[in-house]
This record gives sequence, C-alpha cells and structure tokens, in this order.
Amino acid sequence: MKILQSNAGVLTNYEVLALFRSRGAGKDPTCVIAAVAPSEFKVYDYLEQTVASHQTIEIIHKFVEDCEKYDLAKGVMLNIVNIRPSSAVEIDPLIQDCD
Amino acid sequence: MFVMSEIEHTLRLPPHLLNRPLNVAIKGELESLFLDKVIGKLGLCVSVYDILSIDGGFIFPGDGASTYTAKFRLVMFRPYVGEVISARLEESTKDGLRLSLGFFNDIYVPVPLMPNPYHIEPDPEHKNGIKWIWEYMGENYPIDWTDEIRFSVHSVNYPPLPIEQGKDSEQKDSEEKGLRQKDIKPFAPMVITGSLDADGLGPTAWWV
Repeated sequence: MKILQSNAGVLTNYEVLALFRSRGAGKDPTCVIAAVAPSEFKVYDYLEQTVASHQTIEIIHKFVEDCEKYDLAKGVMLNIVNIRPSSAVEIDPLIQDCD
Repeated sequence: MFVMSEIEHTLRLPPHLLNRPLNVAIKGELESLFLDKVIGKLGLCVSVYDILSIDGGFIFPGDGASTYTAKFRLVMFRPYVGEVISARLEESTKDGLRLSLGFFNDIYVPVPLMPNPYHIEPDPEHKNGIKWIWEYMGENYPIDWTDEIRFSVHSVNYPPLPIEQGKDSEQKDSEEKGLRQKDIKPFAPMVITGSLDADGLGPTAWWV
C-alpha cells in the first residue's frame, strides 16, 4: 500500500453526510439494501444528530464567501461550519486571539 | 473531522468475484480491506470515496486470481489539533472522562485537561463512577450523562501495536492469568486526547 497524498482535501461534515445520503443511507432504516456498510452507518447516525443534517451546499458556499473579508484560517472556518456556534462564547474556543 | 487521502494499493481479486463488473468488485474488496480500520498517521478509514484508476489485471503463475493496482480516495476520520467536536459521555472515572462519537469511542479527557477549578463526588448510579463538577463564580456545574459535550482536540496518537504475550504465560497460574486479562483494556490503535478547559467547551447545556 502506498500513500500518494495523505491530504487530498478536507471535507465538512455536511459533505460526508451527503456522500452517505447519495448512497441511500437515509431511505432504508434497516440498512440491508443500501450500499452502506454497518460501520459507515454509524458515522451516518452520528452526523445526522449534528447540525450537518440541516445544512445545504449553498449555505456553505455563501458562508465561505461571506467570511473572506475576515481572513480566517481554513481550519477555523471548518470548525464553524461543523459546529454552527450561535453565541460569542461558543466561538471563543474555535478562534485564537478572538476579540 | 474528515479528510480525503489518496492511496495506491495492489490487491488480489478473488476468482469468485469475476462475474461482477470490475469497479464494483474492486470497491467491495477495498471496503473489506480498509473500512473501519486505522491506518497509521492517516486516521480511521470511514468510507471509500471513489476509485481513480485501476491498472494491471495480471495473473501470477500458480494463482487463480488476478492482481490489480488501484488508485483510490478514502474518507478518513482524522481530526486536527484545535478542532472542536461534539460527543457523548461514555465513562466518567477518577482518571478523567471517556467520550464517544458512536463510531469512535477512544476519546479521553485526562484530569489535567478538565475545566479548572472542579471537585468530584462519587456517582451513585454507575459502579466505580465519579461525577465531575465544575465550580465557576460560586455555581456548581455537573457533567451529566445526557449532555452533548464539546471538546477541543488536544492531540491524536497512534500507539504502536503491542507485542503478544503468548506462550510463556501458559506456565503461570491460570487464575492469575484470568485476573490479568480482565484488567487489560482492548488495544486502541488511535487515541484522541481532548481538552475541556476553555470557554465554550464542556456540555452545551452550560453555555446555551
């Protein structure tokens, strides 16, 4: 086994959720027919309980555009998209030197 | 939390899969090889994203199966240091907390990374359990079992595989061996150490 690129792209929780949904994870509760393995199904269950289940790709694009003027690091933007903090105190651990 | 990694691997396709379309068969083989396994430094493999190319198809002498070299991308669970993740409480002992994500249960919050100041009290509901309570501005905030807990990733470790104990222990007392095996925790190839010691971390009920 050879690792060609260990980081070929970061995925938001929403993108992974969309990947599982496109394979039919949401439609079958017993998950016997869908092309999703039981371990993948556990990840799907976890992601459904997070805010990612309510996001769409347009929201994420718009957020990235709006954040350009703040010059945030990619990791910080990823954190915010995945957690969706609704108050100042929740943002504090995500951004260093937050004022 | 999730990263894509590009991997090239040479795999042998068992002959009983020859009636399937090639990429379906290769994807199935890759899934059984990599899914739910930890790859060193890359993280836990969650899913096969796509197959970029398949080469080869050679049959080695004496073998009934063909060997392919495939390039593909895997979705890896590999949180980076500083990422904030929501998890559920799985175990609360005097050494700290253990949190779980459903698909990944080896997240430890050791005592030095618990919110300061705190005090602990024995938990009546769980055997050997300790309830952790944070003291802030005169108020007591306990860490309950039903909360969604946010933690910041402090570090991600991949401990090396342990060497098997094996044959020598057969000569020892069998009762002693039985006691020893009960205490040994199953080996965790990937361990995440989390921190709760910052504003906005800990149970979301504390902050909302």
